[in-house]
Amino acid sequence: MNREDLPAERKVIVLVAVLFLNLILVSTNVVLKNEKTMFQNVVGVIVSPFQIAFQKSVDYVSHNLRRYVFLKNTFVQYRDLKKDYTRLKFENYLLKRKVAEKEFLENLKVKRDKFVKADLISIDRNFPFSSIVIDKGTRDGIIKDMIVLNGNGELVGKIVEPITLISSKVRLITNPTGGIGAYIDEKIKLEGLLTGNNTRVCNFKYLIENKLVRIGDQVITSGTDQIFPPYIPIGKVVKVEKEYLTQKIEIEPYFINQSIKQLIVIAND
Amino acid sequence: MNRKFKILLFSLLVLGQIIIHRYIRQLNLNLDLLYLILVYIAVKSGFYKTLLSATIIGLVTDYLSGNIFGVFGFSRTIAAYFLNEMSMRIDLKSNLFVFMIISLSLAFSNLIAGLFFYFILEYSFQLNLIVIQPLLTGLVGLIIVLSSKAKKNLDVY
Repeated sequence: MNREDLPAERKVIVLVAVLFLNLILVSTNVVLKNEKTMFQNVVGVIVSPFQIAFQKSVDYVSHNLRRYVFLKNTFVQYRDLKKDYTRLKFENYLLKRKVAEKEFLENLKVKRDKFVKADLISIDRNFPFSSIVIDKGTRDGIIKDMIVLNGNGELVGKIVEPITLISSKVRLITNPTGGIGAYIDEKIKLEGLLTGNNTRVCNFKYLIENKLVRIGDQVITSGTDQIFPPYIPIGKVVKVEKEYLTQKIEIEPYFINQSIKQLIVIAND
Repeated sequence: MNRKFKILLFSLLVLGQIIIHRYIRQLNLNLDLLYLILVYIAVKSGFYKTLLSATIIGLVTDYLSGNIFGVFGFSRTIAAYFLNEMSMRIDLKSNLFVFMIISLSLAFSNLIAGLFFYFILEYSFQLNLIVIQPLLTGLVGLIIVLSSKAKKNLDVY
């Protein structure tokens, strides 16, 4: 075993210096609210190619197995139908918005050409409802605060730092940081603030007690937070608890019980 | 032969970690395979190499975790320092001891990280992070050293 015989004091000094550097990294993240830092991007640029390479390899092998070994023609038809389905779902979402708020949409600049398809490459294993990483980055036009939907056009989260050339982090709506302006029930439009708590459900805050909320009611974005566009489906009500002057509502996001392998990133102008 | 075996093993551990992060929903498995590499470096290498490796592996863990950058860099460095200091006194021939040092040191490191998450992000303490992940990771480490060939190639005997 090759070991240096260093005096204990020097070891402690070096250890404290290294820990101090790490603390500086932590504090810059906290103070700058996780804004872009050089270190994060350097590590991201080094690590994400391996993740993406692995994902592409797995996709290639499974794609070819399905294509050549199992159900050759059926797979082709299924693939084409799936593409059409994703496109139609997104068009349906745009049309619904047009019907609901025509004037607002005329000012909106969300266009189909700002619609980027992305694949999931990593989930935070310690806090799986906190954030994920996708395989699209600045090279694909991804910037901070872009909205991320699943294949059904339902809300998943938004793009946050770090964003590298080929990957970016998505803060899920189940993350406790921040919140979303949302309506319960598209017709009644009961408005409140939806926040996550690192679990499968989100909580609805500031909802007054005398408004009727039923289990199964759909929750959509209101657009009042100026971050998420309006009328994006979020989830459904799973629990209602009446308190003194308010109600505690639990919402289960739609994406929780679905695959989030393929995602859609849209701009919110 | 030793060197090739180590490179192969470490590559498999890194690949395994990428797989876990990608398929965590399906696997429902919380392991830190990168930590096994760090334990090996801490008990076999010198002080500076240990600290440098711990910081790098910690920062990679931070990136994969997607939380505050520097938290695992901090906690892994502390754990690696203590492992390095204790390594001369550890009996690596005993498999139970190997399991214990991996599990306990990882639990300690995750506890420090958990304190950061608790005070800064107000996340609650996760049993997964402090108990289950260290136990499972220790188990994987134990399985690796159960093979006498692995032990010989890793010079852990």
